[in-house]
Amino acid sequence: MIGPHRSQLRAEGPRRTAMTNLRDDAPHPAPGRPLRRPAILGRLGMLAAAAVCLLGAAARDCRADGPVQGGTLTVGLASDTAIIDPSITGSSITALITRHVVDSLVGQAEDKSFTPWLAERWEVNADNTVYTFHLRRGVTFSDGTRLDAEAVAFNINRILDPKTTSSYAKSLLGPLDTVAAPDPDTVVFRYKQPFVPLLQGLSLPYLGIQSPTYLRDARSTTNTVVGSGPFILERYVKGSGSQLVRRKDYAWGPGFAAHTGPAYLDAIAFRYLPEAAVRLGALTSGQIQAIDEVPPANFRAVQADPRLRVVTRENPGVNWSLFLNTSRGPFADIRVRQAFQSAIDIPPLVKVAFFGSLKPADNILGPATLHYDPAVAHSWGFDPQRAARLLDEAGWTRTDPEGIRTKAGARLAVRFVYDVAFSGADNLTLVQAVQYAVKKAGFDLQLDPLDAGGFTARTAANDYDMASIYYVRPEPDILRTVFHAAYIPPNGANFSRVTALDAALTQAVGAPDAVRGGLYRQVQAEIIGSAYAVPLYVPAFQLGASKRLNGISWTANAKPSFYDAWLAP
Amino acid sequence: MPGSPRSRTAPAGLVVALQRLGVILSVLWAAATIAFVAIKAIPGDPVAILTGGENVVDAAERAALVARYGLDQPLAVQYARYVAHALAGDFGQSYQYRLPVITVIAEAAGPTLQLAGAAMVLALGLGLASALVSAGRRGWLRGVLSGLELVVLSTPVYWFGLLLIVLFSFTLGWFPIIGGDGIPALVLPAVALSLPLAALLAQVLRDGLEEALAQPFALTIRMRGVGEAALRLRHALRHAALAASTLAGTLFAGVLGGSILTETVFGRSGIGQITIQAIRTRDMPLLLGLVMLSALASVLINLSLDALYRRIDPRLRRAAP
Amino acid sequence: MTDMLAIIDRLRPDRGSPAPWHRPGLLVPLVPVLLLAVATAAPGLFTGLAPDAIDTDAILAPPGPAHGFGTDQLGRDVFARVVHGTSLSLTIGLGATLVACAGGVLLGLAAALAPPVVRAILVRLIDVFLAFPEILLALLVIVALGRGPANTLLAVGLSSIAGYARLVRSQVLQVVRSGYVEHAVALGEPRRTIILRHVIPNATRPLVVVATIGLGHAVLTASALSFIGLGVVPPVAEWGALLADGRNYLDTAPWISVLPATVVAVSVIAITILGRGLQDLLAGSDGS
Repeated sequence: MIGPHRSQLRAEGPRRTAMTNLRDDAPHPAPGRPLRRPAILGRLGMLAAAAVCLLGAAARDCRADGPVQGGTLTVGLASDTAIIDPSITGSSITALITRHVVDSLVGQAEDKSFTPWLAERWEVNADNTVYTFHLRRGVTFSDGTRLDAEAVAFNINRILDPKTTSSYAKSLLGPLDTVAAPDPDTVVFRYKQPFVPLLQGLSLPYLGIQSPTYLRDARSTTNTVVGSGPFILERYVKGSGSQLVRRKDYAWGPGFAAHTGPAYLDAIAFRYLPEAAVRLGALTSGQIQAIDEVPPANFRAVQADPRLRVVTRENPGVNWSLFLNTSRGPFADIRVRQAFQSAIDIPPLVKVAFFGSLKPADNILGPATLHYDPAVAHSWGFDPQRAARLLDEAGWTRTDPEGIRTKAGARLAVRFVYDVAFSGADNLTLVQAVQYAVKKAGFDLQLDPLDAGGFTARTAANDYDMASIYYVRPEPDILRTVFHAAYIPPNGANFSRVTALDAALTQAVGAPDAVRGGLYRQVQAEIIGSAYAVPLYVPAFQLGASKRLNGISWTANAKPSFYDAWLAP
Repeated sequence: MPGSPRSRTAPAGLVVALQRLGVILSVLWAAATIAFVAIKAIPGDPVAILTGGENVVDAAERAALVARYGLDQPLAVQYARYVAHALAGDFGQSYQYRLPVITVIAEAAGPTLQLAGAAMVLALGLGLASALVSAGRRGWLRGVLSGLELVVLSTPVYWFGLLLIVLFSFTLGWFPIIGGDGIPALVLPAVALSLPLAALLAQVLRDGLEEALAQPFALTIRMRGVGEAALRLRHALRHAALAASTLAGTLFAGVLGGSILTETVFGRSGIGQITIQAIRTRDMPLLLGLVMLSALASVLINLSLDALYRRIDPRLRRAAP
Repeated sequence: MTDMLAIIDRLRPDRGSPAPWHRPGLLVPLVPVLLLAVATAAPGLFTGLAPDAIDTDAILAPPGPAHGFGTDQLGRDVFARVVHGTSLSLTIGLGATLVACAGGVLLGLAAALAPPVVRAILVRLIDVFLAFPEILLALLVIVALGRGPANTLLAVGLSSIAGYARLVRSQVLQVVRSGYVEHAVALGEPRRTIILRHVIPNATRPLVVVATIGLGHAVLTASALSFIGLGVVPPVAEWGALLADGRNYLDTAPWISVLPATVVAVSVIAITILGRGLQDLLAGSDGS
């Protein structure tokens, strides 16, 4: 594995020397057995420093001693997933879990560069229509099947097959024409028109490679996954979680990882703990070692806890935004949309709702996204006079006794539809703060809470004024999913129902990098300028973790990977 | 008394059996029909669920999915097809989990039965104990126990569960709530689920006991020199049990309904979780399957209770010639 | 709901063993119930603060002189929200109970007096609905009708019809078997008259008591809907919504949920005791 090294990203990662010792000399402790007993440590042949650690020094001092083999990491998750096969779901929880079970052709490091993984190297032709991958040899799936070019092609063709009902994974492949395996070590992807985002898509677990033997035999793939990753999915139980065990003969980590060879942890247990108080309490009482979605109200307390820390990674992709329906109602008028945008003083509201733990958004894309344009930040902001002027111009000149603007007897009411299950309590706090703020400008913002089925029905029927969503992806092509006419509900998440950006977004998919940058700058400026959306904050993965947990690495899409992770005794 | 026609003459077992089968089938059919109508009346787009989460799908793919699941058929056809399949025990495939409905329910039933079983045992134990020690007595113990029962019955279950977790798991560290399927992790959810049921049982049992203890036979037995404990355990309890057994349906519903909230609070898998997910995502096949199975279960419970009454209560036996 | 009904179902008037909470009679529970009534009619008498006024300078303020119950995550006064929530929660509870009673009487009468085949099926259907958790039925109604206070009311009401229906049915059967109905039949009174004059009035009398207790339970069911996230629409203050919102701050700001929860529990207990007191009162007057 000859991936580029970015030591600054691995400030807390283990050192290579200690790791080599471990791998070469040490017998691996039996899986599933927590490594707390001195006997096992002794067997590992740890250095004298480890003995100091055993004698009762604080965990912080032990960290310097390098990775320790063994132990079970339990991670509490706020959300569940219905399907564990990453090729047929868009669930980010599935992505987080299966990142440890399936390998990808290429890896994407935190600095967005691509590294070898299952493919040792690759070539892309000049006009981005032919991608040739040269596979690493000797890789096997956990069921013993060989991972060769046929296996890769089988996976890709399965995703393209309509019978598979793959939707997100398929969308990542773009307009793929054919995938071929000319020899066991070579895979060729061919497009009829240029397509740039393929490498980024391939680096995600959604396009991870699963065992073709398993895929052929399985009557249903929704309940399990067989891959070539550092962990094996032992059990997945809906509504409860997933149990992963280490694969002992793993020898092909991604190029961005801190080590190669088998993982340090014996097992990872992902537990679904939807109640914020329960998730947090399980962490602070030491029953589990990590949680996602640290409740904002407890953010500071967790940071201040000597045994805990919060590790935050800002999401690349589309920020958490209110998408204004441009096709009907008050927001069909650009002036009303701009007035709404100008009526909100975003930073203080975000600070209140998230207790200062998240950054207010200044653009539709998060700063960690490729081709994010910082200049857009200066083009908009809180301006109550502008809001009032624009509403006057748009004919909303009168005000009713409650302070709501009216026009020809109609009140300036806008309905925000949302799915309760996917809009956390903090987002709701934020929206209530926005509701209170825009009322001063004369908007009656009405909350319209729905469940998943009701939400899709309402957005499909174009019966709403506002909806929200965010997408995690470092590749700006994600804007196409949110602003291309092909994805107007029910076909996707273009809640603004914008059609004006189709040409630019389509051209940017296949354009050379220099041209792409310009196109995406233009698109970002247009989205804010025409007030298609009001971005509110930059979502982040907020991992609360015990200080015993070390060596967490992060992928470019702001998801933690526990391949390099280890638990201090 | 659960309402079942008791004055019916039962000449031969076969006729009774056929009659009951008829009742079961018509109830199931009615339940299926009500559920079908209700679900079709609810707005929602099953294709969004079928395509899994991020919902990026083109029009052609959408049409293919709709056709594949028969959603383009007229409602009458969908209904006929559904009822025919359901009667044959085939509830179709869950949209959300993309597995046969039976498989999904069977998988979820395990943890729920564990939780429900533990909660039932606890509820019976606590309810019995509370009723036996306090029935017919005036004093602080009865006051405290009935007061506690009232508080438990008047506090929202989900909130109670949270308090239990914070107190016994996080603050005192007595029971883990994480720990997979082990018994220690079962304690708190079972307690949370059982307390309201125990309070309910205690009140009904106490009433039954007091009624029995006030009857002439109790006096006769006391005069024979039988101890108070023996009187309560051997004689009065039998009467009270009859009273409490009418609660079976209520308890069944209580456990099922309570498990929805308990499973959410404690992050356990089970029937409650999949039911709520099925409602939220309009997973029609799964929801219909759940309705049918719980209808079946309740009919079976009530029928076997009817049979049981005839055994426990001699008066009913005499009534049937 | 069914829990409470089951208790009442067992509590027949001839049972004479007053629990200790009956002794103070109706006076003790009357105090909180009167307070609730006043809060429902004129919340302004208790608090001058608006329930939805956001104050970003007083976020998660603990209980103190300025805010008796503290403030929530948006700096809203928790006491004002509880007081204003009283009106909505009790209206939902009362309305739901009325819906349930009306539906229960109709269904219960049918299940007792319809032709035998219909009767058998209705009886089993009532059993099925009793065995189906109310919270699920209520959820189904909510997703079908949409959210909002009126629909919450309907959902809670419709979902508890079965319990009332069973009670009415068993009362009807008791009345029918009683001596004076046999007497009326012997006198040749027409069936319709018997049902209207004797059966219905006698069978529905215990409903008053049951409904009082059911009211408390309806409030709890509505709050469970809010917990699942399908209750009233934010930022409306409703008891269940207050509990549900506050549970995320259980360790940082316990007052947001603990104080409203106490109010809910005390209210439900008071209403329940009042119902049982009524029960005893009626039993006494029956006996004399």
